[in-house]
Amino acid sequence: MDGRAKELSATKLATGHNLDDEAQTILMNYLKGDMEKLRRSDGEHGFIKRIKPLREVLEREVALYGLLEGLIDTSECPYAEQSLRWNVRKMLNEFESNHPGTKYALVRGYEKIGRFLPMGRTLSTCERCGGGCTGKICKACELIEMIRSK
Amino acid sequence: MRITVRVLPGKIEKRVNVSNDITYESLVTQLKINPEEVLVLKEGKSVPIDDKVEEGEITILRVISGG
Repeated sequence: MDGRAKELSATKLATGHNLDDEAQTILMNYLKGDMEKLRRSDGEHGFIKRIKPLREVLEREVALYGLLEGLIDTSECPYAEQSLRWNVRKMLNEFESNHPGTKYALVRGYEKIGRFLPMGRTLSTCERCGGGCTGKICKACELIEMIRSK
Repeated sequence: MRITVRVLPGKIEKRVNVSNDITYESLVTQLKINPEEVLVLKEGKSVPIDDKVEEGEITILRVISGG
């Protein structure tokens, strides 16, 4: 995505992350104690600036809009159940059900403290595709490898 | 009232007995599904989750995206 955005000389890259995605990311990184990764989810030096217009909209409401506009796809990601995100999602939805506003509160709370967190590692180049990444191989190449090995 | 509920994705069809004044939210909870994770459709159209259940084709659409 970053490569394509640069080709187009874009100044911003909008992603479809919604309130559920954001709250999950924050809680997951708290649970892993990974404050650097948490900070990086806000965007990094060397990457095109990310914007998230749906950040305060519940996933269910995004889905409702999709349904009304005939855009919805009812299939489920086959890898969803393997992830920590899956467990965090379940947990957060239970909290949201019993304590409405939990997801929003998590995101708001993080906004207050996020800027005090260190940015951590500097950006390097992926050995496979040459894109920006934080390790030796970028996440996209890592996932492609995982799918091919199955 | 005896109703048939389809749960998507997954092509699951359930027949359940419900009292006449039950809401869609209670129906979803009764099926052990978190109302936060679904949209409820009546004859293919989205209905508010706190509306009373009416007879007809009811679909529970799980709005879950990938990991």
